[in-house]
Amino acid sequence: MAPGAWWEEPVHRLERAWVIIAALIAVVFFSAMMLIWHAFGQQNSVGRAYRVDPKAYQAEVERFVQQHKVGEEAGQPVVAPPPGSDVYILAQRFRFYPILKLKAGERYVLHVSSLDVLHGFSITRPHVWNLQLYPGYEWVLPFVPREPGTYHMACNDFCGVGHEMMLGKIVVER
Amino acid sequence: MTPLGEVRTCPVTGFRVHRAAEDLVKANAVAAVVALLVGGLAAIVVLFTRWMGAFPPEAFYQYLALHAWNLLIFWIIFFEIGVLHFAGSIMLNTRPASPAVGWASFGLMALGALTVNRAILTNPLNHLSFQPYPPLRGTPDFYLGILLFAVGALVGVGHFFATVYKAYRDRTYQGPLPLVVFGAFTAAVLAVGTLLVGAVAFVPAFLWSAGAISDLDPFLWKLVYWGFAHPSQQINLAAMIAVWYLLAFLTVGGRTPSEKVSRVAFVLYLVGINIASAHHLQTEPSGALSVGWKWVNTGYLVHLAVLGSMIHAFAVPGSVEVGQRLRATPGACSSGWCARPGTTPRFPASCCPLPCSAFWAAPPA
Repeated sequence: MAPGAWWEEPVHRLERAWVIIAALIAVVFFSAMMLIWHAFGQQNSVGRAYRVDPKAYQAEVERFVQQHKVGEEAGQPVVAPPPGSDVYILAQRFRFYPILKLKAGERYVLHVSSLDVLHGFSITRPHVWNLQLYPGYEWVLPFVPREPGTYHMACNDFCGVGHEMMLGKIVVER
Repeated sequence: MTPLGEVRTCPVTGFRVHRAAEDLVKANAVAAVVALLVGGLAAIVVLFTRWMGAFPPEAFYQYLALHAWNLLIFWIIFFEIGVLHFAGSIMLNTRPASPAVGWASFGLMALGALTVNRAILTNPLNHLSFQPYPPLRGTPDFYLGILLFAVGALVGVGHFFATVYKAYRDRTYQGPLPLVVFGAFTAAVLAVGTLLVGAVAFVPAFLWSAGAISDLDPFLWKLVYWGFAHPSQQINLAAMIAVWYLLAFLTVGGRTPSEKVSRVAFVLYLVGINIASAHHLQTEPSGALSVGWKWVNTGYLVHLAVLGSMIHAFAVPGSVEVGQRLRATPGACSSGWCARPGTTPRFPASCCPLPCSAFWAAPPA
């Protein structure tokens, strides 16, 4: 074959049709579906995140716990902050601290961060939150718990042997 | 080591095979299959760790780590280096640029792979699966093993480029680079980018683990790490597709319906494939990566690579069909395709992966 001759060879009509169909699929998935998923599918995490000193964040969580503590469960404080307030969760190996008790239909602003290593923060029911927690970044998410019930959050990023036991809890009451 | 000049003609393919290249292909292919076996057995153990009475919880992480590093890194990159020795030397009818360098590459890779496996088997700190994000800290030998393997692979890729240049200089092939070698070349270029990014992640991680530097930025590290961990799978993708074109040729004398379209599809991989790695950062703090950044980098150029895969999905079976017609055997949907499986193992070898990949491997994400 002469150099460059392969470029001059005609493309069979079947393959040309296939390339056009494939290109259209790519264009539709990019331009239409990505926009639709982004707008309606809750593909990306909502809320903001800010830089924070992990130790300062831990002190803030401790103040919050002391202020609104209403009980204790399995060694973890249970905290019932007033509706409309800022609520805090600290992720550390291998627990989410503290347990939150919230009112359905009220608005809260959730703050969550990690003290030590990377953790996942995942609540699968309702499937709204899936956040990557870093020491040094504080997530701030306004939210309204709608359905009363007990919700468990799992760490879904390996954080050491003990990761499998890392579960947190939010209780939503009427 | 075999004498440099020793050449034989393969009775099956008709290729002139330089023994020095053949030995390198064999060594890398065997190492690849051993890594595949170790990673596969580890996956079975992972399954059995659900049986809590027999395995402690940490066994899950240990065997998951063993599974991950053997299957996602060692098996595919050993395999790719084997493909590069085959494509560079045997397909271009030249002896390897330097068999000694080829063996040095293999030695470094084997040493690296053994070091990582040993580190995972002997120290619970290294049960880091495929998310070894700082501040979780493995032992220095874990990171050193990965670096040795990456350097070995880079030497192997460099050796491939040198062999292709040697063939070009000595005019051992005619016309443009054959399509299979072109595909292997694509995998090699992807490998250079991937392995260099891997060094950017693992050199500081090694120094940090050894105590030479005090701190790593966890966010930056994870970002860079996925520039290595995801594209490494794409090296495999490009190399596998090159091999499928080769199998179509060896089985029925197939040739791609259009050289132009198939080559452009490989170039689309080069342009778009690595963008896909950003999807590992979808849940990162929005103060670090904006929603817009995530959207563009997970959904934008990646579709160029998807288009490349779609084109190959037509062109590889198309190559078999063209081969059948050139041999004047009946074409698609007739006895020509159906009669083949009983006659040669090469036919199912090329056909079985295609439907599998349509579901699992072909979309580059």
